[in-house]
Amino acid sequence: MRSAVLVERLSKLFNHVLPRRNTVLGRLRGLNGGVETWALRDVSFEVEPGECFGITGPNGAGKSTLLSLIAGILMPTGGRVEVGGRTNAFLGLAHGLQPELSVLDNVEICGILMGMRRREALRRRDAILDFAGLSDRAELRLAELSTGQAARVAFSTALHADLDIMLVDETLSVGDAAFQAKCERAIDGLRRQGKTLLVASHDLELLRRICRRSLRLDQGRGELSIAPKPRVLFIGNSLTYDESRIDGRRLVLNDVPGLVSALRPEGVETETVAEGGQNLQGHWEQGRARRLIESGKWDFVVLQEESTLPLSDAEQMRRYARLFNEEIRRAGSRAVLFMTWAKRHEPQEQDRIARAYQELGAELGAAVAPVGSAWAHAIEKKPDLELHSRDQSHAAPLGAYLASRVLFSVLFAGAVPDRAAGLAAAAMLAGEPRSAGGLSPEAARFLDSVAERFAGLAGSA
Amino acid sequence: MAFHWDLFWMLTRTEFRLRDQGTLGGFLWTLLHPLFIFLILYGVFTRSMASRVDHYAAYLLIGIVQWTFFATATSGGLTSLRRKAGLLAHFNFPRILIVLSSVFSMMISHLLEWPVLLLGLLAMGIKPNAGWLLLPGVILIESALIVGLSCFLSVVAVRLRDLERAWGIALYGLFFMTPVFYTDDVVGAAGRLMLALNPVGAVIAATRGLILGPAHPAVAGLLPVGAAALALCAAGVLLFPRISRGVVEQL
Repeated sequence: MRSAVLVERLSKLFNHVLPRRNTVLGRLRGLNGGVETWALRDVSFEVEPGECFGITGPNGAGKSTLLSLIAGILMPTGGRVEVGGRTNAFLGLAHGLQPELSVLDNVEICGILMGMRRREALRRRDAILDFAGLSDRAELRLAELSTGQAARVAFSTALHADLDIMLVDETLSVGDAAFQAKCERAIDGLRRQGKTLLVASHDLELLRRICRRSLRLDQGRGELSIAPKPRVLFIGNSLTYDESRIDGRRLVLNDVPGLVSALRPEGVETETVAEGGQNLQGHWEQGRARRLIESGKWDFVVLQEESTLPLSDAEQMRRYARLFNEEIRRAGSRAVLFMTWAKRHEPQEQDRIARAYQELGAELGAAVAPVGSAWAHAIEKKPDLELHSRDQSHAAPLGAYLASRVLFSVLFAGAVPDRAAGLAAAAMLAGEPRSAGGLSPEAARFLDSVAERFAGLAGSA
Repeated sequence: MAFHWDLFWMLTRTEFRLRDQGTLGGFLWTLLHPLFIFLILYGVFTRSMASRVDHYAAYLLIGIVQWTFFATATSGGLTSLRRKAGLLAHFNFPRILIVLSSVFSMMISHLLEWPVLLLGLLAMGIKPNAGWLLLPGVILIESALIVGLSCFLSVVAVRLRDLERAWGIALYGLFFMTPVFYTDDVVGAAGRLMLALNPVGAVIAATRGLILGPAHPAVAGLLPVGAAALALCAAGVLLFPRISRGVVEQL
């Protein structure tokens, strides 16, 4: 397969002429002096079509220079860059647009600069402004927007400009959480279309979420790294993980952590603390979950309360979720609340369960993975789907797939799931009814779309 | 090609809007500049020059309009790359479009001045003649001269930060070395040689010849200037990609 971007032994030397020499009088007086800086030295890497590739490094490491060279804006001093697709824009915080003209005019300018015909730029103008969240500011001068808002203009235009390769410098880091989540979903969509992204950022967490590989630049030299697997601790009960021993054989009936890991092509490092019927109070008092949290090694801690507690004693649920959340924050991790589902014969309870989790999430500032809501919606649309196990309470393999798919999208917003691997892992579960293995492609797509939709409504973790 | 055409138009419109705010009021400010110079020079020189040349007011007005186009367009062309540093640093596109659009936007302003100028000339009693039909050719030759100069000036101005000021002084000197408000016969022999080598002087003389007559000698004098302007324009456009290499990192 041909690379989207091939960089071979790329070097760039800047000759900075001193200001006094950079004048007519300075040249006439024969003034000399300047400073040479190697912005890049012998940097090599390759990016595949459809890949989201990260570039990181301290200020002055050469990130912007590298993107400018790939865009063809700067000429290399040595080495070569080959680009297999259309790209001509380098999207940074300093967007290069016209501050004295209106936002509307700048969208048009930006669109044409990115290769759109004028009528196309005018046709897509509303959609671009809508994505940027600037529809109500379209008539303002660009100079009147904040830096982050102005950077959205170029980024949003690029998303609509059908570029094969997008070069993004820090733009994603300046948006608010909602805009960032929207961008990450858009990036996910672009990658599905085979578009390639190179994202330079100081935000390592962002790069880890959206990029499988990153290049770390330091003083112009590059070092390629594969992003480490994210680490997730699951705390819950049999709705998270369920196994039993029959005739000495260990049968895994439900394994949401395992499925989440299978869905991520590069895997997830997980640890699970789950016992049948256990609630957060029990986990708190037992101490093992707390000790694991204190180790500080987790990116996320997923908290799943016993399924009837939001209905019978929401106050107890809140009390222990608060305690866990404080520990999780202290350890530098983030809590994600795993909203459970109503029993098959009590669908009317789902709203109360959802409300309890949403209110708790808002209070704690924690993301909620709306698994229960996604289940309710899926069952309403396709009543034949067997999400519940035969006891009408636990997850059948298909239900485990949907639960892990929602969690996956909330935990790794923007990441592309390996659906086949997820379904294969679900088919290995011993839970009943075992319909996951024979799931039709349409039904799988339906569950994916439900998961994406509900995860999207919840926002990223 | 279609992309470049849209881009060129967009850059031209942007230049025009940034300069005149895209309004009639903005354009009137553009008109006021030559009009103001005209009023001052006419007030000062009409007594001494009116006896040497018929229709001195028309003579002066034509000179000022053509000179102003040359001066403002070359000054704008000179700073064009620097003014668009942001676009150049973030988008890869043919950089010459920046220079061409700067000159073209000035040309549009200049063309909009012409109906006002011609109405003024009619009001002064100048009768239209067939020579007026050749005026677009003169404007094109002047534009070619400006494009050629701007291609080189814009690149050098990136490397020499005070070139804009030096060019301002040079234009000031050139204004006095160009028969805008005086006639050729007021200068001595050495001065005449200098005027003969002045391409802007030839453009102004040809314009006056076509409007006020006699047309033939002025137009004949413009032919070598036209050939040189076209050669300079071709050289500027063809050499621009090479001489502008590396210009973005110096912006």
